[in-house]
Amino acid sequence: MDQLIAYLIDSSHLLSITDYFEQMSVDVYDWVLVFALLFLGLELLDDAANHRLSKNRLLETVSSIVTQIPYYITEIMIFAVAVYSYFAIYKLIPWKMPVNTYSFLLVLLMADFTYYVEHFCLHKIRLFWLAHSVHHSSNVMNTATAFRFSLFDPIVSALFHIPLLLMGFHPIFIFAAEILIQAYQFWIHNEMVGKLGPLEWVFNTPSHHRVHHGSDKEYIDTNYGGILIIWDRIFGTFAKETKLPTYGLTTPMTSKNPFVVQFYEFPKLFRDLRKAKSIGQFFGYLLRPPGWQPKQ
Amino acid sequence: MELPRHNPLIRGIYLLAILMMFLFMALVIKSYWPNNQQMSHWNDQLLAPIAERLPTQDTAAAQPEVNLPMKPTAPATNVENNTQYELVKRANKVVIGLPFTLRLNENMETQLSQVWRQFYNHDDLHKDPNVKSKSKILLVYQHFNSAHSNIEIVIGYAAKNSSQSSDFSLVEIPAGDFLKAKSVLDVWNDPPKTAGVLNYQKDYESYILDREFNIISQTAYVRVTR
Repeated sequence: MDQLIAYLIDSSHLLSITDYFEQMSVDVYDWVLVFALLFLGLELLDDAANHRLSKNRLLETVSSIVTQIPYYITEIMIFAVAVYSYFAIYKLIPWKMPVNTYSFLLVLLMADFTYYVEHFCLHKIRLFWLAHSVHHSSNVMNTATAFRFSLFDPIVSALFHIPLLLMGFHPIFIFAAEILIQAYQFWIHNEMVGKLGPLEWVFNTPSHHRVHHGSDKEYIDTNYGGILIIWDRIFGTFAKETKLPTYGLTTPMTSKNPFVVQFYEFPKLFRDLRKAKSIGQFFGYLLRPPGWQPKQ
Repeated sequence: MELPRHNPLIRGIYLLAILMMFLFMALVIKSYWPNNQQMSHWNDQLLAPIAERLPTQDTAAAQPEVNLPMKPTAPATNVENNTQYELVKRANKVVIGLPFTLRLNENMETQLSQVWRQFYNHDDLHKDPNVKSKSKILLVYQHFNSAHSNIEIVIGYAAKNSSQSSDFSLVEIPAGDFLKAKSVLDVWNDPPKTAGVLNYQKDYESYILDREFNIISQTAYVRVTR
């Protein structure tokens, strides 16, 4: 196996520790995508074997994968701007955190907490929910759901990680940590894996993430963690899986049209903004949780 | 809580695939992971040839400062060092890198360790478009200041040209005759009996590293005027 890895991985051109983490994280993400396709294939085969592979389910899977097209287009543009901006800001910061393996592990932990905060805000601020609702709009829970992104997702992520940059962490460390946290979450979007015993105490698992995607009353707005579930346990947003969740939005979105999938929540928000009677109501619709209505 | 019905064989393969994925990723990370020992080993490898020859704090106590002449005005003939160094011709060279000042009254090993560490971590230099080749690292000793007992050095790479604007120091080393040795400071400290005058200006060391950042070769070039 080591020889295979040595054949696949060429680290001879790496010159610095940031090179190491940059290349390693991108490689891990790329290989996760390869495994994700394998997982999806097995899930569809399992659906077929159990007479679950309906036209609707298959189209929903395809619809999830197709969201990758607009996502990667904006990701390339936003990431380019983010990289340039992050390095420009980093140069201006007078204090710098050490650049070594220990500081990378610290960044990884802090980035996971940042992801928890970001994810919480994606659910609790309607403006951000416009983007994140795309990911939750599928009523199917398989690996394709992990690919279901809004084209606005990259913008939110870049903004929320700025505090880590202002602390003086190297931009490459921040990007690498975020890539690893995203890569981890591909394998937890499934109904193939049950509970994992003690791992459930610390890590985000398929069971925890099924709960997160549930639209049931007891499951709404829970389990926001990335790699670790400890943040939910600490801050009281944890919910244990007691029954199989009902996936999708509270008002189901069943369209497979890629434009409807991307912009489903937008007309609803515009209608609410138009009926706002004051600045307070206007920003309430934008910044308060989805479903908020002003007191009559 | 029951999951939907699954085919046991497919589910088993699925679970195995997940385990294989984590194992594979661990191997990928391990193959990239620069552990502290490796980094420390790299630093030690880089510094060992220098550290062996430099005055330590103990020897510095007996000799408060490195025994460098005030200014090179006479041929280096009144010394006992009869080491024969190869005389070579070197072409004009431009070096782009990071400037540092070495204080001769302080521990040279510690200072050089810091120099190499900062050089290693300076990503912007490694990615500068004016860098000609990263296979060789150059350490230029210039501006020996006897009044302040310090030496200005620049550590970096050969540059494509000296005119391109850069955030880093650019040092032009004119072509000429050089003594080929192991360490510049060695030669400065103990000039050889040679038919030439040491300039003590813009002498340099060239390091070639392997993929694990271990030194494969180290060569010093000390300018002489004949």
